[in-house]
Amino acid sequence: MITTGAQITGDLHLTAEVCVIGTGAGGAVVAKELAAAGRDVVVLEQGGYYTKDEFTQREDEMMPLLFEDMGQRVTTDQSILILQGRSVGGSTVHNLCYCFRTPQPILEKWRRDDGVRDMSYEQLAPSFERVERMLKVKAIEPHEVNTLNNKIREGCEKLGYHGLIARHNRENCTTSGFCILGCPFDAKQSMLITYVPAASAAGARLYANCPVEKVRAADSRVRSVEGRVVDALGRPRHAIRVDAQVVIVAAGAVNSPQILLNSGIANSSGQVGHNLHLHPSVLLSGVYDEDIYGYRGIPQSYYVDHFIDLEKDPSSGYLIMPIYGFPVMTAANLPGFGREHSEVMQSYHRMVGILVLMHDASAGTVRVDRSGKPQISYQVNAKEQALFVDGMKHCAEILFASGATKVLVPYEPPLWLRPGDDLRAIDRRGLRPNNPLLVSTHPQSTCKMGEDPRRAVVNSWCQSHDLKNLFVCDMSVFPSSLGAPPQISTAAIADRTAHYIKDNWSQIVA
Amino acid sequence: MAETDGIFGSLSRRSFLRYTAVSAGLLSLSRLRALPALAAESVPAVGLQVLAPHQAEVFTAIVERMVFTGAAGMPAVRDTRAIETIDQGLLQLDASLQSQVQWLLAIFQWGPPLFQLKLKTFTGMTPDERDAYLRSWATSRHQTRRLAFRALKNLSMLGYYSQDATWKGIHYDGPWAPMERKVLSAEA
Repeated sequence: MITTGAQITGDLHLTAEVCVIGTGAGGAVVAKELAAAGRDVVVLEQGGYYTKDEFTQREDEMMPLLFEDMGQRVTTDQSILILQGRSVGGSTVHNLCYCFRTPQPILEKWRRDDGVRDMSYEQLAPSFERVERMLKVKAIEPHEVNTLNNKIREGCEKLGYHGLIARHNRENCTTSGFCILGCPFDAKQSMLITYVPAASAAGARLYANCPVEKVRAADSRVRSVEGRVVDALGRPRHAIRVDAQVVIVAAGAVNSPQILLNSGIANSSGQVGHNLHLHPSVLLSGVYDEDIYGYRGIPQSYYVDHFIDLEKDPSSGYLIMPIYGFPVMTAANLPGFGREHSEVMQSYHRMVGILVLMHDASAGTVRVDRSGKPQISYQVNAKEQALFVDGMKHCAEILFASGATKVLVPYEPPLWLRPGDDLRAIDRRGLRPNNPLLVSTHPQSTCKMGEDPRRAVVNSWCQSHDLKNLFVCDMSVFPSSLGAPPQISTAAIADRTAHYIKDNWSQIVA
Repeated sequence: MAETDGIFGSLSRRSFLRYTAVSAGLLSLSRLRALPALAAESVPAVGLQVLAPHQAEVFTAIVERMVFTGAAGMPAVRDTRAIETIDQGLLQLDASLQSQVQWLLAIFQWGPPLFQLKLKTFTGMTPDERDAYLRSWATSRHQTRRLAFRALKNLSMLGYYSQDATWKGIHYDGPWAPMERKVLSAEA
């Protein structure tokens, strides 16, 4: 059963065995698994419930519906735009379907550095398999690689850079290319059409438009969850309270620490909100003489892993990936204005977007202000500033190698490069706050996992060190930057956590 | 060129920055048109509701320089509903933020004597002068002016490039499976 805010006509006081906060790759999975195990589950989602019939493929309408803070969440210095999902299904509704398992060296690093137990690649494999089966993960077929992705592949092959065609979670894809605005064909196997309906079918009660404000604890146990029922415009209408034996916070790496900090719980380590990693990215554009129509087809099917070697160094490196934006997004993001800007827009159909995604050791924080809203601070360290410069130069190389006639590095004022230009121009501009603008779609690690209660918020099973019946189950728990798109890792760890709760229920609620 | 942010500094910096924070994003002020969509109501075009005619004229002049419509296939700003789209968006802001935007437009319009020592208004400038003036905001050493430029730019891009009529000129096909628009019809 899925109930939206508009259907709630008064204050609600519910009881459940389990209350899950959030319906993204973590919350939806744990809700489904526990409901299927016979537990009475209530799920609260702050965003609305939108389905394919509402996905109009218009960015001005869809981005605000599907993204946190209506697509405007930024760091306090406004240098990094942070895009996170906020509707039923969370970020899986708008993501671009890359499916990577957690890299083995990262799991080994988590074991070594943070004492994470029983989470080797082999031990996580059953969860990977269950999640991938549910999400219908498969390899992208070569014929499904669009022109834009093929341009990047062509450039890499000429330069000898290693890249791969990715796996994804789409079924009967029309290759319309509108993934980021929500799939109007239900081809994307997001939580919205997989785990959420499965949870509902198993008896979970899901309430949309219900942002959580506090989790109440007493006598060393979590007792209840309190929030608001809001209308379609976000205005509070009613109160909602759920008394539960187990609470699972899965609201994402900004909102989960926000809830815990506002609740004043689970923070004896002082680490809630710390260790924020973002996978910050910078986007370049290449302009070609030939038609690309980059918005057509699967947006991201290829990736370049030549500049990251987690076996050698699990803490450093970057991926290079294709990217594309729709007109408003592109126009707003391109530097400059007027005639020069317009000339670039005239080449909209001949552009290839490419990004550097940093596996970041740089760390930031999520705090809450006096009104309880999250404040995100993050600065790229000197080493990663240099890596960004390196990455931007490689992106320019790749674009030129595949025929780009000019490359735009998005500084303000813009830096235009042409074939044969000295790429050291990028060295001279470097990377400074706000120039170029960075983007993050993978905030993580703000409630980190680890066995030392002084250094970690949750243990190896995502269970609070302070409150035994409180779990955090989203990207917040990653002890370090993942170094790969996080959807499958988040879902697999949630699956593992759900099975832990299922198997240890009496001990947890005792 | 000498520049000063004296009057600009008298703006409520906190709320202004809160407003312009959106400008740092890819989508900037797209939320402005999202609210009617959230309400799932069709909003009829009933003329300008936030911007006074003289403010709309200033904003139109800004959009015209921001997007440059001289290229083939690109409609003139005045032939689209870009300003109505922006106005509908502003309508969704609370009154204080609407006031901030109106104030920004006033400062922008009357700013050349202050910021560039030119005895002209923005709309009284030649196109080249307007571009130079915009550029002075874009590259100002004062963050508040740069952010104001970004807000104006992003509103301009949102207003103009959300119009279906602009898509042909940039070779964008639009929605794969067209569906009824949830907000106001943006077509001229």
